[in-house]
Amino acid sequence: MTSLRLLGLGIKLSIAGGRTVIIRLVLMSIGLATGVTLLLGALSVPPALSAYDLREGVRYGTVDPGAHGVSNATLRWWLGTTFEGRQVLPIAVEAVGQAPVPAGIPRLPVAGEIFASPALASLLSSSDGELLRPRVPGRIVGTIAPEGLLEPDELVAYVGASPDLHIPRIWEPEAVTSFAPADRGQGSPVDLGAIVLLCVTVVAVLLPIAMFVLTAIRLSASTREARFAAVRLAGGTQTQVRVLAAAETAIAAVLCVVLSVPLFLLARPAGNAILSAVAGHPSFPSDFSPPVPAVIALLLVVPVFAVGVAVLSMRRVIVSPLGIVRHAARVRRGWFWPAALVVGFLGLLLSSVGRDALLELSSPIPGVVIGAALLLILVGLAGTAQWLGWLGSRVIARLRPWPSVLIGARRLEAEPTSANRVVMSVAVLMALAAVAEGIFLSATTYHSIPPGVAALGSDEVVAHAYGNGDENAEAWRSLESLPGVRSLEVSSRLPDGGSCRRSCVAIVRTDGRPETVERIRNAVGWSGEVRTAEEVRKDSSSDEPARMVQLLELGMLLVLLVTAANLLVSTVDGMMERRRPLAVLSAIGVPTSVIRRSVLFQVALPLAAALTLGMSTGLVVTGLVFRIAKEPPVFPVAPLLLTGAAAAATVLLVTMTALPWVRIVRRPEFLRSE
Amino acid sequence: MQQADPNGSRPAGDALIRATDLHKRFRASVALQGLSLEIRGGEVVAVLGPSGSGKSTLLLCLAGIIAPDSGEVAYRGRTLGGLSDTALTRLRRDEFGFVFQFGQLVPELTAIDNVALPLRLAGLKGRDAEARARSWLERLDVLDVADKRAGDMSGGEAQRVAVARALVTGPRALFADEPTGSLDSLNGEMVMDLLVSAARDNGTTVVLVTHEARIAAYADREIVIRDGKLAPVPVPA
Repeated sequence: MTSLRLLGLGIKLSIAGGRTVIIRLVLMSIGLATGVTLLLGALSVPPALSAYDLREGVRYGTVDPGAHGVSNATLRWWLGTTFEGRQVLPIAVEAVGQAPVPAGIPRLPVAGEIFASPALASLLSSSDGELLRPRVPGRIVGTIAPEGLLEPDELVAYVGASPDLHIPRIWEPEAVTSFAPADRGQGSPVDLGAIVLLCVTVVAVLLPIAMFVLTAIRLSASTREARFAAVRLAGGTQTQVRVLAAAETAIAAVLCVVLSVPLFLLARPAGNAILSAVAGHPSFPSDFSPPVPAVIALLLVVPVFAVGVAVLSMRRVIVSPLGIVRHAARVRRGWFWPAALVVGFLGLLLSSVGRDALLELSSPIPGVVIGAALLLILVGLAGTAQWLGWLGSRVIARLRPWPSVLIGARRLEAEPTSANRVVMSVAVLMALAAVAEGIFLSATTYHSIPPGVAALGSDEVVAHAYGNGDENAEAWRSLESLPGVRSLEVSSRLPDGGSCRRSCVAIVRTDGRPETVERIRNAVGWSGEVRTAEEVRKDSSSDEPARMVQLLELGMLLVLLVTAANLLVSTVDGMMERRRPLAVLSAIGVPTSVIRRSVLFQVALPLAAALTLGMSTGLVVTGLVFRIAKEPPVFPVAPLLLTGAAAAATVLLVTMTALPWVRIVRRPEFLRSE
Repeated sequence: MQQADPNGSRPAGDALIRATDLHKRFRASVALQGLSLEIRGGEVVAVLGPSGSGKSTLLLCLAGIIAPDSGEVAYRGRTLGGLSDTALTRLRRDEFGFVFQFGQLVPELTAIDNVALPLRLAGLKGRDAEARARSWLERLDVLDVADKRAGDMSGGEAQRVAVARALVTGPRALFADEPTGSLDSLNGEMVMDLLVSAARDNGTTVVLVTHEARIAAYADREIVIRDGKLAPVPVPA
């Protein structure tokens, strides 16, 4: 029989295999499709970042340093302002000779004309934008096309330069000679670092999914293998049985390919939102797209890879007509994983010792050395976590503990690749959490708000003028007559501690209404900058660390849920596979509570090993990373313990939902051998 | 003293286990229909019958592992149906021993762990439990496999370890369901010799389910079941 016909027979057998096979197929397909979707998302990150860079390049263009005397250029004034907390960017432009035209508009606006982004055009034409119109005066003659925007909802406008704008004389324009994107050069070390970070994140997220797929492949293994034995009895060869085994995975892989594309399209807005949060700016969803050749390659490689893994997973199994002979999967090479971990640590340690020499190298070597050491640590950590769980079970079993612990420890010792493997991702997660929380905590420490800013009242507005003292004093007096302004205090000191020319700053106490703030902005115009107390505080601090911590927590929650679901499935399946021994235990008088505790122990021990190892590794790596960066280290012990406790609670709680199955599997009918 | 009745349902003495009018049905299939019997303390009783006759169901009902649909089982005068799940579990652990055809041993535990398990559950200290388990393994001639797991033993060795585990607590009653069903005749006879002699030494009542007359010959008394009811014991020609 040819391999294709065999594959067909395998597919037929799989589909006719009943409810368990369908559940296995569905779980495998979901796991694979989720993995492929994540990979598609990861592949979309570099194009999305490049697209933003390209849009910025097109917006900025090529600027001639000498604005005076240029013959063919667009003179440009950046007139940034804030309206009700949102950034608004009017760009005043004026043509000189054959002036280049910015992307997204058909021509340069003349005095009194505006090309506005769709969002700004809509705002200006609505009653909500009434108090913004004085700062963007003129007639809207068209909208800026998406290629001229940085963000989908950007509030930007090209305004024809005119005296009505009241741009201060001291404000020199830029002379733009071309809006073609400038050559931004080859990849910098920062790009390399970002790629390493991306790789590490993808590995951390894909690991639990890979574990989930492996668990799904092994679901009801004994029933499946009994079927293969029957095929051998009917004359099938060992190779033919392997092809049959691959058929089921092939179905799941095809389903995965079919599912992953719509799944990615569904998840794309969320992926784009996450990237926007990380990058600190919104992006166009259409920019968040993987390169087509990479998509085709991925969708072709995944089924082949999945089938290959299924065939390889049978290498330890000899299917004979009388049943299955399984080569025991003993953890003999346990030393390899701790060794990889130690080598990774040494790599980082050497990088920290020779950091100056390393960082002087103008090549990607520092990034590669540090990235390789980090990847080695992650791989070593995953393997060591599994090995440590097995080692712990061996030691505990030797101590002849309580029956529940003994049964659990012996089970872990006999099958070292079950729960131990699933919790590998928890170890990796904890290590990454330690490093990330250390870095973010350190960043938070550096962003403390100055006392002057902290002392600002919520109804106060800081106006900062660009002109000289006499002009300012004039301007501040005009503010006093505005509706909603209660008092005004002129100073030469900025709330954040900085100083400026005489009378450059006015602290205006208002009635707290947003309209009053906008009126003050309109009155000051482009002669100065007006910020509310809240905006000053926001500028003096950075919300990036907090945003990153939130993203990290979201990612950890997702990984934990996948891991917990994986443990739940493998625990239930493990009990169903062992229903006869469990029924015997019940028959000989072993209380259900002992069996329940042994099931919990089988999760708790590897989990404890993974948490401890992950946290310790994370703290060591944090110390080394700070040493390399020449920064005082911040060890996030308290948040890490909290994260660890939350992780343990989540995983154990989800696993506990499997415990009612103990009552089912200990039923006496499983004792029957007829 | 009472006399044994012709179909073997009543022993000649005080009953340790008494089953009265047992009925049990699994969906459409009837396993027991109105079966009554008594088993005396220290007796070795063989329950014979063809496949599907209800032998194993009777054994599980007598041991309190499954409850009959109607009728009752009394052990030392106490009705099992009135006991809670916890009380039944404790009864099985403290007073009964079990030997099954397959899968008796917890596969992950070593032989000594398996034998010591009921003692540990009964509250004996680890070292004491291990010492007693070791002596039983020695008595059943399987001390050399003490540190092996079930998968690393031969069928005969695993079955003898299972017998050791069933007898280690000194049970009043031992329930054996086809204890030699997975063994060749030589190993089967060795296991039966050890099981019956150890039980007799301890004064343990044995209820032995088998379909082999050769194995039933080890018993003091035979009960035959057909279609869930007691049938007359065939008289040897």
